[in-house]
Amino acid sequence: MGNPTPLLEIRDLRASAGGVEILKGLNLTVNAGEVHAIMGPNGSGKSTLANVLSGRPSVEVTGGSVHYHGIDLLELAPEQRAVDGLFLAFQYPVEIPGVANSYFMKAALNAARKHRGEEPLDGMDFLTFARERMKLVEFDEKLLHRSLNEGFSGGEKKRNEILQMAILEPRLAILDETDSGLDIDALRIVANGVNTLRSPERSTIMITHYQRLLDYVVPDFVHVLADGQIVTSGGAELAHELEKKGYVWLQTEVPAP
Amino acid sequence: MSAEQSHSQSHFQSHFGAQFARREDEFASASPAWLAPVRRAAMQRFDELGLPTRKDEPWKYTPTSRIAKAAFLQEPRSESGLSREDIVRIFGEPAADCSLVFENGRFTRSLSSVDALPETVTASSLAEILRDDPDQVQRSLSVRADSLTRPLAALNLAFVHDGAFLSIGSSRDEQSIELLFVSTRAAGVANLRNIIRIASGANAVISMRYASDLAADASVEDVRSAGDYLTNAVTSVELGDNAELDLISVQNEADCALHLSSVDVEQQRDSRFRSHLFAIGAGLSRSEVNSVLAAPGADCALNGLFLVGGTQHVDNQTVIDHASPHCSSRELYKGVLGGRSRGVFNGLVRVREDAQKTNAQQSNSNLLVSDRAHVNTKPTLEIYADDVKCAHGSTIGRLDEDALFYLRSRGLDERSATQLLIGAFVSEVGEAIPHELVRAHVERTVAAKLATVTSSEIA
Repeated sequence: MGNPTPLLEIRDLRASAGGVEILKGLNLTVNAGEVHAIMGPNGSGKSTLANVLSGRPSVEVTGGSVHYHGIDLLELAPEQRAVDGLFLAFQYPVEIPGVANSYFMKAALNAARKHRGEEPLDGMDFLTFARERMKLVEFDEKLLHRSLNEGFSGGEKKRNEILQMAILEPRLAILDETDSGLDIDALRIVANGVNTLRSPERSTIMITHYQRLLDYVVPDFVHVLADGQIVTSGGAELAHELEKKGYVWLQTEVPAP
Repeated sequence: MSAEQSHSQSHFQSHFGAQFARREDEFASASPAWLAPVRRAAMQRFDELGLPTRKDEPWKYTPTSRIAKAAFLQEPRSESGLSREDIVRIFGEPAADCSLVFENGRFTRSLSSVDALPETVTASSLAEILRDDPDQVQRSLSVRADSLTRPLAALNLAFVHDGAFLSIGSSRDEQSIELLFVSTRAAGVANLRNIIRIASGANAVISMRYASDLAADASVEDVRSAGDYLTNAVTSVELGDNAELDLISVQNEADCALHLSSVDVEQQRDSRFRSHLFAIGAGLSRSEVNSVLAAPGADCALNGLFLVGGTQHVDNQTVIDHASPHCSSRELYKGVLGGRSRGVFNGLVRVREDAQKTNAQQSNSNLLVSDRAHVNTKPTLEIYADDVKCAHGSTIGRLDEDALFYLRSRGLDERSATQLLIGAFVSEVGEAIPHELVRAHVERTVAAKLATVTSSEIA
C-alpha cells in the first residue's frame, strides 16, 4: 500500500499582497487526521497563508501550487473551497448588521449539504442540531438570534467561529490566531471545541503567535514561519523551545533550509 | 439650457396649453363652477413657471429634457379590460379589505372593493366627488396659484379630474386601505390627485402602489419598443389632532414610465405621520414628500428606500417643516444603485424661529453596487430656533469586501452573499411598516428587484 494522497500539499508557494511578496516559496504537507501548528513572528506571512488557502481575492498567488485532496485548490472560488470542507476561523471575524447569525449558519450548512447531495435542513432541524453543537463551545443561544457578530465581545466572536466550525464539520480547519485576545477561560473553551472535533478524517492547521494555545491543543507537528518560508519543523516540543528562546533564536541558530 | 432642451420645453408647454384649451369645456361639464377659475389660474401658473431646468436647485441633478421630450400625444383610454384576476397578478393578493383601483389615472369601480367600510369612512373617487358632492373638496382644491411653486403640481391642478378621496372619521379601529394605480398604456399622462383626510383621533394605514401592465396594451408589440408615459400624482394629506397615519408608497412602474409624485402633509397637534416610500421602478422618477408640523406635539417619520439599476434615474425630495414647538421628526432614506443608474437625495429639515424644543434627525445612506452607478445626496438643516436637538448625515459606500469574503468563505456563492448583504442594508426600511400583509407585499417586491439588480452585476 503506497502513501495515500495528502489532504493538503503546498509546493513552493509564492504570494503577494499590495504588490509586496510575502510568501517566498513555502512547502507544507498535511495528512488526514493531523494537527499542525504554524508559528512565527509578526509579518512572517502566517495570515497571508491562511488567506491564500481560503481564497481571499486581495492576495495574489504568484507561483507554486496547492493541492487539496489531490485537486488544484487555487482554481476554486472561496465558496467552492468552503462547501468542499475547507474552513477558516478568522482572526478578525466580520460584523454584519442585519444578517441573523442563525440564518447565516443555516445558509452555510445548507450550501455544504447541497454540495454533498443532501437535503437542506429546515429551521427546526437546524436549531436542534445547532443547540447540540452550541454546548461544545458553551455558546449562549441569544447570540444565535442576533446579527452576525454585531456587538459580540472578542471572546464571543472567536467562540462563534468555533461554533461555525462545529456545525460545518470541515475536513481541513485553519484557525488564524484564534487564541489572540482571549482570556484563559475563553481559550480553554475554544481549545475544548477544537479537541472534541479532532478525528482521523479531519485535519487542523493552527496559526498562532504564542505557544499558549498549544498547551491545550497538542499538535502533531510545529512549523516555524519566517520571512515567507518555513524555516524549521518539529514536534510539539519545538513550540516550548520557541517560547523559551524567542523568535530571535531562529535568526541566529537555525540554518536556512 | 441647450437650444434643443429649450425647444422641447416650449413644445411641452404649448402641447399642454393646446390640450387644456381643447378640454376646458369637457372639464367644465364634469366639474363644479368654482373649479374652472382654479384650473385656469393653475394653467397660467404652469406657463409662467415653465418646466424646471437644471438651473433650478431642486432639479440640479435630474434631467428634465426627458420629461419635456416625451410625446404625450394620446390621452390614454381609461378602461383597459383588466379583470380582478389581472389586478391580483399585478399587485398580489389584497392586503386590505378596501381597495380602490385606478387605470391610467381613472377610477374603476368594478375592480375596486369599497363596500366593507364603516360609516365613519368615505373612500371614493375624486371624479365622483366632483360630480356628486364637490363642496367636500372645494377647500382642498382651491389652491392659490401663486402658492404653487412646482410646475408639475400646477399642471396637475389644471388638469385635475380623478384620484382617490379618502376621509377617515374618528373611530378606535385602525382603517386599512389600498390605492392601486396601474398604467396599461405606454403613452399619455395619468394625472392623479389624491386627497386624504384623517380626522381627529383616527388611525389609518394607507398603501399607494403604482405599477404598469403594458402587456395589455395592444399597441405595444414589445415592452422595449414602448414610448414614455407620465404619471403625475399629487397627494394631499391632512392629519387632525392626535390622528395617526402610516402611508406606504410603492412605485414599481415599467422602465418606460416617468413617475412624478408628491405627497404634501399638514399635521395638527399630537398627530403622527409615518411615510414608508419605496422607489423601485420607472426609467425616471421623482418622489417628493413634504410635511408641515403645524401644531405642537406632532411627530413625523419619513422612511425611504430607492433601489434601482440599469439606466434608471431616481430622485427623492423631502421637506420637513417644523413650524411649531415640541415636534419631532426622524428621516431615514437608503439608496441602492446598480448598473449605470443615478440617484438623488435632497432632504431639507427646516426649524422655524418659534419651533423650540424640536427634535429632528435626518440620515441618508447609499450603497453603490456598480462602478458606474452614481448618487448625489444633500441632507440639509435650516435652523432658526435656538433650543433644538437636530442631527443629520449621509454616507455613500460600496459593498464591504471583507463581509462579502466572510460569507463566501462559509460557502455562500457570490450572488447569494451579495443579495444577503444588500438585503441586510435595506431591511431596516421595510421593517418599520406596521401592517404585516402590506409589509410582506413590500418585502416581496423589494426582494424581486434586488435579485434583478444583483444578477446584472454578477456575471
